[in-house]
Amino acid sequence: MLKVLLRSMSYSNSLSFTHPHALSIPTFQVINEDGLPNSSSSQYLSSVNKDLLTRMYKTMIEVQEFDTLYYDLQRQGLISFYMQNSGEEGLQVATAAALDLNDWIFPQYRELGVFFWRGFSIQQASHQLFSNVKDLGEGKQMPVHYGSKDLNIMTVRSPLATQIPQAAGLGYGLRLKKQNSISVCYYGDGAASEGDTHAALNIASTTKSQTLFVCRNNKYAISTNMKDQYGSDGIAVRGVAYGIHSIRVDGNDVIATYIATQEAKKLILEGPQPVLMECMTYRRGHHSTSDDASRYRNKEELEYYQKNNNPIIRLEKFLKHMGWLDFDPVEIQKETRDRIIKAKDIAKNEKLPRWEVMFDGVYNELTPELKKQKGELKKFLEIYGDKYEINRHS
Amino acid sequence: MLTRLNQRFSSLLFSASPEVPTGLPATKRTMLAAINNALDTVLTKDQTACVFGEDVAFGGVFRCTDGLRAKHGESRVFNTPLCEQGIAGFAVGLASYGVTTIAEIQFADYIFPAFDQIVNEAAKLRYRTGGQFNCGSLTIRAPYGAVGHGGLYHSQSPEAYFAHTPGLKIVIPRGPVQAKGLLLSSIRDPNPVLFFEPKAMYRASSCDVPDDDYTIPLGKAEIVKHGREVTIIGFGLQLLSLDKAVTRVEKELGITCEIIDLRTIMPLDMETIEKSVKKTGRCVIAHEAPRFGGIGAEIAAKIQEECFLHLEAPIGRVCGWDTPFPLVFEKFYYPDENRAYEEIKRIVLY
Repeated sequence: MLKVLLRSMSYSNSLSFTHPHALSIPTFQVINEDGLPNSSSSQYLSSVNKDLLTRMYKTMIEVQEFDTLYYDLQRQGLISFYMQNSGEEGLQVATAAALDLNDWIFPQYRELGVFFWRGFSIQQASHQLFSNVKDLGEGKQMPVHYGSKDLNIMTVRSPLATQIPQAAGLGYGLRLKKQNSISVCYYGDGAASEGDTHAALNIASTTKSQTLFVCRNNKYAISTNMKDQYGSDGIAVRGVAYGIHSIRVDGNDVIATYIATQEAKKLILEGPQPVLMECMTYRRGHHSTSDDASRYRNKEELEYYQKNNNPIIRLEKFLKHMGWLDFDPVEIQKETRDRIIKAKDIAKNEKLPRWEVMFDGVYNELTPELKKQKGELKKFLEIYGDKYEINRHS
Repeated sequence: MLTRLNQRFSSLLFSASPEVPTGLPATKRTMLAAINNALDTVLTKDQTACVFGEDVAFGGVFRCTDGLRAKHGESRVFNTPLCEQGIAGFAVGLASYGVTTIAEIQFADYIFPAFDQIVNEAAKLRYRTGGQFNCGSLTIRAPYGAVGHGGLYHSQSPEAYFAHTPGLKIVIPRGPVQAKGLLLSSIRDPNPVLFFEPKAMYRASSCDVPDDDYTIPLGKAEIVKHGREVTIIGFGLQLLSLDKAVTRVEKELGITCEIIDLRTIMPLDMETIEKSVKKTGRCVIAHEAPRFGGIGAEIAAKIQEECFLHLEAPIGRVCGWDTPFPLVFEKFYYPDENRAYEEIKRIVLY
């Protein structure tokens, strides 16, 4: 503590401004874009094995196929809204694989691979998309706002970055209760600009929360490219500014991301102290079904990330290189899609939640005023229920 | 303001409440000492409870957290950086883990950076997650209200902004006995609670506050004075002006007034209010916050919905003017006993 103070108190007799790029953080990578290990990668490869990487691959395919089906279904009007994960499946499963179920997750909204890895079923996700009676969220929120108490995944919310200081707070709770687990929040390069992100890093730093901040730098926040989002050397340098151990990682390299997350968790629990990890990746899809990215992005860029820097393809190439590819990717894709379609059919045919549920959860129990209002709506629906498709509700 | 307080202390502000058992061992405490005592009680009984905010560690700018860090340790009573949105977000996260979380915002006037975390997150967590998660163990405390020289940014009463948000509870004590009992209830209530403390009362005077753990229920208004001709509704420091106004109006007009301390702004105890207004037929509501869209407007709307045929006069309101809270003009702005007297008289003689 004193050393830090003295260092920052050192005087200089020559006038100079520190250049904004004085600190330039390189991107940690283990396998290159062709899926081949780099020359110094061998020390890291012992951390992974065929089973682990095969599971990662298959989970990424689940995300990919789930995205493909539901994007189309939204276009057909079957669900109201959807957000894809294309391009980011790698960092999702790789970070999740390095954590366990005692760790808490605070997602943003583009982390389906984290959900699937931790055991959130395709069926459960489908229920949420259809807002049906089996949705754990009781049909309260828009599609893709998944959450699971059993899996310690805080429900997705729409306002950006609000989960980040919350992850700092929960990480403090873990420290208070001397738990060997961490809280992990995910957010994009856009959300990284929100005030809550600054607030969170600062308070995590001073309270030494057991929190891992994972920024998915996918280069776009809806249509806003990095150059309009920040002037700094990305997001990783900001962690250093708050006194936080920080790393930048190739988010499309599942092995590098997996290892970095493992090491980050160790570092967090050693402190305890928070850690910031910026995963460089790319959002191949539109922001959501309400967006058309072709209006602001060029084809060349998209093609590069589709073919040359695609986490699924890079992993497949690596598995081949290692002689670990003992499944047929095409078969896996087909079988996965079939499972997803079956789950979709089940979810689609479920009823919607009872209308009364609209009044549940405002407080732990109904207040007199809410009871009164519920009574008013009940009377109203006795007359008009059919006009509001009351029979679709359970 | 402070001069008024020093001149004559309202018996209403320093009264007990019917829910508080009598004959308990008690100590003379100011409101801030009562609050300190409540926090101490929670920190003693709940070994992971945390109290934090700006300057909380050394005792707080109003001394409400005095001595707590030394007694309960630095991991549970601590300073946060100067960032209300960070305090609130951190608090929501900690509470969602189940920790009894008591966050302090230094002045209610500075609560607005935390508005998103309070209104979009804390208020809605249980609802939007289908009950899977909640931050019921969260309490946010903030000093509010006129203090005599606070101006725009040390005097505000922001309860109306939050009352418009389903999912929050809002509690405001009038005196030391209520401060302790209501704060203990607020902390233990399984819903996020905003606890606004009338800062002008912190050191105003003291009265006997039971030493034991006791609670005053939320969602229940208190009839602090029974009467027949008019119902007067207020909360917090307004009970002082109302007490003085009522004393004068009863003497000059030969009537009796019923005074209700709301205690909980949200959820409102309409049952007590309706019963009273159906009896008296007249009502005046008082609050420091600006007239337009204040709590008085909602209460007036509800009263005329439920008690219309019992009303003998319009529902009166005594409020701050619809201006920001001014400094040198505070005496003209503040709804004091003279303004309350005039409005009560107007409604009684309508």
